[in-house]
Amino acid sequence: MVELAVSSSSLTYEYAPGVGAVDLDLAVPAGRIYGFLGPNGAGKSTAIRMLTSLVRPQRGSASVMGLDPWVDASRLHERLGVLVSDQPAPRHHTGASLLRLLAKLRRRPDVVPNGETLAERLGLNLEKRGHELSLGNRQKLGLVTALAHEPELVILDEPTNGLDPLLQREIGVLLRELTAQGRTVLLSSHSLHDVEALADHVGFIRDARLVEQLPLTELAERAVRRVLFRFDEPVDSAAFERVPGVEHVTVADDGEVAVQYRGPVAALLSRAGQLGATTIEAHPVELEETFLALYRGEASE
Amino acid sequence: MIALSLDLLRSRRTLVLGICAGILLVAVGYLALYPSFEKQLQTFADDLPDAYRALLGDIDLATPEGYIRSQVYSLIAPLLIAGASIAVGSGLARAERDQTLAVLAVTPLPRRSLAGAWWLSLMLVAGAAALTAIVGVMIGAPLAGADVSIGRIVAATLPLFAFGVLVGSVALLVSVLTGAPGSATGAGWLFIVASFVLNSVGELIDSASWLTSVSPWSWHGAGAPITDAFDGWAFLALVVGAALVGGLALWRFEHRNLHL
Repeated sequence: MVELAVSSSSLTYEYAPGVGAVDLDLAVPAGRIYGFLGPNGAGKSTAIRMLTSLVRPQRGSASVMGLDPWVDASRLHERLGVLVSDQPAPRHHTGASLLRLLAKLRRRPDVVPNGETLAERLGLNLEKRGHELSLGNRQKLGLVTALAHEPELVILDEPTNGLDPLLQREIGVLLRELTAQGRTVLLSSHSLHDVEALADHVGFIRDARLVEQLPLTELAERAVRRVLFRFDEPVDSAAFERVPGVEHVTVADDGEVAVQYRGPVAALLSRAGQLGATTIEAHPVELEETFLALYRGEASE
Repeated sequence: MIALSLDLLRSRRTLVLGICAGILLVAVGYLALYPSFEKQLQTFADDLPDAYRALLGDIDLATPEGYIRSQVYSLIAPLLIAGASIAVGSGLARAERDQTLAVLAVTPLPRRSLAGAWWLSLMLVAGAAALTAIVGVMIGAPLAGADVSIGRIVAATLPLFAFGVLVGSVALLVSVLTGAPGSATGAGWLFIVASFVLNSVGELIDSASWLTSVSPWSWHGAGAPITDAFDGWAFLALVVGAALVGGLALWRFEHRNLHL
């Protein structure tokens, strides 16, 4: 049985009917990167607020590293690192003075050297004050403050906002290092690319509800795939439509047949062989289509 | 919590320095001028209508001690001390609105300690302002020709400190309840104005004199211990009021959702 760092049952906070996060049954495996994906306003941040003790659920329950986020907030925060969405930097603090304050509040002197190391890695100048930092540098400082106390679980709301592609890649490497040390990362994003690049597991939230939650590899298996067959003679589309897994067939006059399918390809190849296909062209798996289908609320099965 | 309180104090150092400079300027500057218009003040005080004299709390403007009370303790110092406390008390809502609270709200510091840091910080600001008032009057009183002991100055200033903490606690409570800095600041000033009006109406209308006794403005005594006895009950009322309002703010913050 997979050990879960975060789990929830019917976790709900609704600002208005259908707005917020409703009946979330999350299962975030320990030691993995879980990507929480959904359009803006879908409920990702609301879910994160409940998991990080900022908001009390109206219904349901959550367990974060075995603790109730609302009841055991202080104990949880000792082991948790959090970056809220678009986290601003306090105006009167430099990065260095903020780290010193956090070291005192957490009673963890190592927060300062750890933070300095992270800042150097991310190219962040810790001597600048909060109001002098650009969006990207504020984001870097947020990441540094979220990670400097070496938390067991890191919850990051839109962590790559404002970061250039090189830094996004560096964040990916950093998060991989965390999971290699046995830590867990839950990150939210509206970016398909981010989640595909970083996460092992994904959860899709749309209109306040979790619509799907699965390993990324499984998602790839479910993805719509495209194959192009060429025949010497035109063929009837019905010959392919009856093949299990085939969803759509487009037949051209020149003997070209485009097939969209999900699942195992064996039956499809067998049928193409029987019909005398001369060439086959398989397109790479595009998770984007699957993501977008979930975004749009289309069936994933 | 203390580390955070000191940090908050550091973040408001310009405000604190400004308020302290203002109090020092009023205490030393105004009191140093007293000898030059002592006689005019005597005439002015004699001509004052009874109702207006009552509004001033029956302070005798013609004496140096009365002048100290009227110029420092009756209006300017309470307003400056309370104003500084309001600025800090509403700061919690400001930190929530601009989301800088986020980095603090996810530390192991319990919620009540987080709000408690703001509460302690407003006490420190009010304390710094009150201490400045004590120093200012100690310097200014001899310049005005008044012979006032340090004990009396401290006794006169202590209720102003407690009044400032009470008003700041009101701002903190509204900060916690609403998360809106404007509402918190407004509530603090409304509290001051309302208590001032209650006190004034009570002073002017005999049948409503009970309003004075329930007005927190009257509890700070306008520096009465400079010339009269220290009103321990009024001081206690300020302390208990501040403790109740501040305690309520801390309790409420523990149960508050933070939409950061």
